[in-house]
Amino acid sequence: MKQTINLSVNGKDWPLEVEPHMALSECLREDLALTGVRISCNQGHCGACTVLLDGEPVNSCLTLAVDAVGKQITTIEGLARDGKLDPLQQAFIDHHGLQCGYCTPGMILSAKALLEENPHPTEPEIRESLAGNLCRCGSYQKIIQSIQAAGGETGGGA
Amino acid sequence: MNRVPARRPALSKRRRKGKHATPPVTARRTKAPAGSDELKVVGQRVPLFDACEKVTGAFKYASDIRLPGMLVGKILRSPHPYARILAMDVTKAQALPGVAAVLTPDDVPEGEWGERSFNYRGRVLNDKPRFAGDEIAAVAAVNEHVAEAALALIEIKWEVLPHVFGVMDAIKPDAPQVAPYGNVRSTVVEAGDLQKGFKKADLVVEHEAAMGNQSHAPLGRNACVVSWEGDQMTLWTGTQTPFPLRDELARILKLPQNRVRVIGMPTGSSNGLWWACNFQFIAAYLARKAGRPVKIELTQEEAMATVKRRETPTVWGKLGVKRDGTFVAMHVKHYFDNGAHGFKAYPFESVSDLWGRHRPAIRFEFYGVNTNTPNAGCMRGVGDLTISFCTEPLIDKAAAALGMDPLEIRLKNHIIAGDPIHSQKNIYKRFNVPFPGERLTSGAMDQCIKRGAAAFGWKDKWRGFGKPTAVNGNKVRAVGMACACHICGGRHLGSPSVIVKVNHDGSVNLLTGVGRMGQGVETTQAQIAAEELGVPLESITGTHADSGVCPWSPSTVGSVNAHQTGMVTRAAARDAKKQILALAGREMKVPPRELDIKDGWIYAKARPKKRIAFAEMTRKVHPEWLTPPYIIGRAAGNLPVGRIAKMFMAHFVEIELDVETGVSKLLKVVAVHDSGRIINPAVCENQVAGGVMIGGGFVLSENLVWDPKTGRVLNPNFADYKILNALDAPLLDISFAEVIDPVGPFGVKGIGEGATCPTPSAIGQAIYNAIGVRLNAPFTPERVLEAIKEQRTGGRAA
Amino acid sequence: MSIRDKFDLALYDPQPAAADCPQGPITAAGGYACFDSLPPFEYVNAESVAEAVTLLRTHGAEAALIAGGQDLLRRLRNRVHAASPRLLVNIKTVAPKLDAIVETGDGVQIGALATLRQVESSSLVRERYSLLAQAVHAAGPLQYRNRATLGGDLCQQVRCWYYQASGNAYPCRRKGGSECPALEGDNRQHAIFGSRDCVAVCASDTAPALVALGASVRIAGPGGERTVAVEDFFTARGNVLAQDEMVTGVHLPFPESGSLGVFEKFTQASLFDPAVASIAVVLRRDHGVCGSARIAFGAVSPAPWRSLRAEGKLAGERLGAASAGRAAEAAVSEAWPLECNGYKVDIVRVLMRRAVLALARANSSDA
Ligand SMILES: Cc1cc2nc3c(=O)[nH]c(=O)nc-3n(C[C@H](O)[C@H](O)[C@H](O)COP(=O)(O)OP(=O)(O)OC[C@H]3O[C@@H](n4cnc5c(N)ncnc54)[C@H](O)[C@@H]3O)c2cc1C
Repeated sequence: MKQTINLSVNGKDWPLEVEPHMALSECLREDLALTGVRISCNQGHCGACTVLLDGEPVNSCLTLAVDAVGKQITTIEGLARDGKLDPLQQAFIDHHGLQCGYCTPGMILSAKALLEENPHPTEPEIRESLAGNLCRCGSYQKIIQSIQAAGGETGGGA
Repeated sequence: MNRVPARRPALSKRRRKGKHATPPVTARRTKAPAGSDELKVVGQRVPLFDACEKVTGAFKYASDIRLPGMLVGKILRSPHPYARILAMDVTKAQALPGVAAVLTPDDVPEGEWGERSFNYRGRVLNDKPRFAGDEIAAVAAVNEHVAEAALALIEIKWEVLPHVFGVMDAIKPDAPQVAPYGNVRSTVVEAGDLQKGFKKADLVVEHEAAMGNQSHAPLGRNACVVSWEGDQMTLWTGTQTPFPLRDELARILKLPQNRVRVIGMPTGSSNGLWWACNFQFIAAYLARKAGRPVKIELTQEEAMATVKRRETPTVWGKLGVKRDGTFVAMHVKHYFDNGAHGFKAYPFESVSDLWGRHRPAIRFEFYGVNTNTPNAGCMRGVGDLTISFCTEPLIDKAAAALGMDPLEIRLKNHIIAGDPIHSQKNIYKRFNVPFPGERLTSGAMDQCIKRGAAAFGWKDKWRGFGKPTAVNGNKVRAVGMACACHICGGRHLGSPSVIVKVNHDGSVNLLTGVGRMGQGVETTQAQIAAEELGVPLESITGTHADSGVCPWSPSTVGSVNAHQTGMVTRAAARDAKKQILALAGREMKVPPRELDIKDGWIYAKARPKKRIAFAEMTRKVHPEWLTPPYIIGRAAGNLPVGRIAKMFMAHFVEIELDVETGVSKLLKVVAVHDSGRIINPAVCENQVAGGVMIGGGFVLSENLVWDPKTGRVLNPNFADYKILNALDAPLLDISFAEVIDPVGPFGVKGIGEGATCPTPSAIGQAIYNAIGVRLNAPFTPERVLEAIKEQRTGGRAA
Repeated sequence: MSIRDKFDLALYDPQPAAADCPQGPITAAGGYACFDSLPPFEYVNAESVAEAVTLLRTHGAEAALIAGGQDLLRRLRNRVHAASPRLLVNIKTVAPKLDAIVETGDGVQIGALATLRQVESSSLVRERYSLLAQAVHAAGPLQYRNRATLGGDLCQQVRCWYYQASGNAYPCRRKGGSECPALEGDNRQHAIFGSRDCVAVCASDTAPALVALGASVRIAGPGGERTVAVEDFFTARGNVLAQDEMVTGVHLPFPESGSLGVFEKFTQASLFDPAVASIAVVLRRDHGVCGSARIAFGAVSPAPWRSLRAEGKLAGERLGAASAGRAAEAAVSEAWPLECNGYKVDIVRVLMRRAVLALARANSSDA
């Protein structure tokens, strides 16, 4: 049975009719066209579908849309403000922290949560915060460098 | 499917500086290699063209496509490793409300389709499925839940057939025959007289190696969306091979090629997985039968267990060496598991030639073998990765016996420019095209080895074969190194075509038929075009992989694009440039041959101050045409056939191995690559990093496992199939031995595939140095520990 | 080349065939998850424990509790079970919220709905039970720990690639069938201790830590609350919960003075991979001599495996290399590895020895 819910996504409220079995990932992709929420494994292993719930990273494939009511949801589409990229996004571009791009939104959101809590993380802290985000292109070194750059940390091979 | 227009903040900042939208590219230049002083764009570390869309989430993959009225397609798979369908009853499924079509083997051609690089051969739906997971029927329904219910209503009467899982069993004459054309296909690369060669040897060593089952384990889903309008089909899918897919679809659907439009979408990390795949063919037939657009999206499990995996190798080798380390004979037998539908005899076998400096007699035999296991075929580094996993330890054994170190023996035997090439001759023959290059175009294996050793500090860390670098309690540090080479495309794949369109405002559209999988081809091809045309990189936008719009290109496989497509892109840009200079000459009253274009200015070479902006020239109304010129530069598969280069690489690794638990951690990798001139160092560094992770993961942790009874894959997920993550990634030091290849565009060769090849062998050598036992891959903690225990009990010598 | 032979046998042995294969109608998609959208269900936000329990009672097997959903939703997506529940009872909404972490007279009480992140971040837990904080941290990357709950972690399903196979491909004993495909199949990830009825392993890293700490589970049912030691919570094919019961919290007794604890998760590569085996030890040390010890292993049997033999060997012993070795041998003396998982025995031995050595070195009074 469909339920009427209100989701707060990227700072804006959206009234939605959803089935209870709709995952947050599907709801964001299909009802709100936020396809930056990527789905790969759909089982909580890969982190491509990472979104922030009240600032904390979760796998949206293992979160029900109805459970996200009352929480602030941030997707990759919500990071840029007024046409200006988030410093993390810019750092990923400038430091080449991506290849095929599939893991990129999840990577950036995990990094975003990290930097909010810990603006100058060490390299091991960065690595651990990315452990739930797989990159099959193997771009980890440049991803880590991108986050270091955005975190204001200089240099450092990964 | 139009993508959101690129907004590239990093570049648009620069755009503001120039008056005519013609500022130079200002990205930081890497240290310029000799002879590159003239180059403006090639060699620059510019961000990927699509980086902005990727970091904002605006980028679109095939799974993001939705069409009005689109149905969900789902595939029914065989639960048996080998069986025949005696009867299939789909009436109940068909009758289910919401089901638009049920597709059975009766609805598809009797004949098989074939993937151009031998990765798949089979019917679109198989009435005699060859592995557990093989496709046997499909439904199109209004949603997934209806499709699921419908599949469950399909009733099948089976005759279960005896199956065969192991390569060594499948080659036996009385083995179950997996395919109608027999289980084994083979080819040989040879030169010289092997027997005589071995007679000359002072020392003969042998080695046998086996590796596990590697899954492409793609991160990122793929989908295929098909829409028919009359007898015209449009198909969206993530693919590295849009044109070969189009050609085969047209052939099997009996349609003219211009009625089949394949729009190749970017893939998530493909690594050789997404080419022409059977689900795309199913989608085409299913949509036609349903009369509505159909989307088949594969799940992670389907992608990992049914589409393709790397051919599992078993390799034996024998090497004859003179006392001074000169190779005189090399004999290798390489068996590989083609799985159920692969039908390859020819992997990429460049390593056969790698050690030919002193013209040893060589014989490399390749046997592709069908089994009732998941499809197997190309995966990044195909052939050369698995061959070198035997030849590298073989060389080490010889070096150890002769008291040489691993660098010395390799430096003595690797080929250099001008040396003979024998590999790949057979595949040219198979495609009925003459073999173009008998001699190596360029090669800097020596630089790769020497520079790698210096950067790694090899001298300080190397203690001898079978000797660890340092022991600290239960932790052992050890180093290893290995070399490999690989192709940079091949003429047998076909010649790419490229179109360069110059618009009235001076902006440029680059059209190619290449596949996009994050390797950066959009960016690097544009860099080549911009360099040749003399315009800023920002003025170029690419359209790729759309068979209705772009010119034909071969498969994006075998590291073909930078080298081979690059030559054509350069030629097309040159063609456009010639046309523009002709117009400019008339305008500027200077003979065209005295003009050149640089940084967006057309200028007289003798008097650079005499100039006109490129974009001004293209805007000018032509006095006779009464319109600004519309320039189309092209190079359509009409380049003279020349040689194809090979890339070379040496990897140095350091591991830490816990002798109590058998766990090896990859700490550091130094990789030096000869890929000719580097178009974009950032792109290439990422490619090498990825290669190291794929190669390293293959031997450290990845292994697809199937149930010994049912053949069903047990671990088609990222929890049980372990790929290396951010915590496992080693420190990387990547650099390039930039020789300028005489054939490639601006001296460019290739990089993507080869980057995977040396890592497994280098880690293998390090493991050997740590524990004194040469192991087969994967080097799981379990296997390492068992070897340590056996060695301690004296069970086995190195 | 015994390893290679083993590899070959395990993976490549040709099977005589036909008779072994299931006949007749097949499950959709040959058992692979070609469907992984969530199957339809109704969803009720329970407002009290009583309501949740009543719903379970009324709907019987058709209902299931959902907490963080990290285990349940994955199984539903993969069609792991023959039938999926028609009703999910959400207990995250129970009031008062069951996520408090509070000190009681005799210990610390953690609500079942506390997320793993809350548990590891709690100063109470970190100060008094640091091995629990470590175990909870090791359960998975941040994305899980932000959603997964302590109760769900204890009640999650086992690790076994046959049991967990998509499309209910193997209706094994744990699912009410008569066969265990792992016994004859590829059992590298399976149990080395306990009964051979079901050889799946306990996937929870937290459970062995709780056993070592002597924790108990609070269970609510129609008749009220009861308390069961975590050690007794697991059964050969599941846990002691009746169909209409739920876990409301976990109670940790105060550590005895002078007690020390250690937790280690051993994986194939890095921390968040599934455990090959894990160990939790809590013991009292008095002038270098071990008083009583509690030792539990994870991922080696369907329940956390308490090694009474190793505990017995350590009691009264001076902590050091010699006692570590004896405890290690005692720990593995009850193991019966299957064809492919002998490695786990080696790892249990190493974990035990290293744990004792670590405790011999440790200097804080901290469990
Ligand atoms: C990919 C992956 C890897 C994982 N790896 C690990 C690991 O290495 N170590 C580890 O410890 N865990 C691991 N987990 C498991 C994860 O930590 C647990 O699944 C999680 O803790 C379960 O908590 P939950 O609240 O999400 O449970 P849910 O999924 O909500 O519930 C799990 C089960 O418990 C029942 N249940 C939940 N709460 C209660 C309750 N209060 N009373 C009674 N029954 C209840 C549910 O009905 C359901 O059957 C992994 C999970 C995933 C997806």
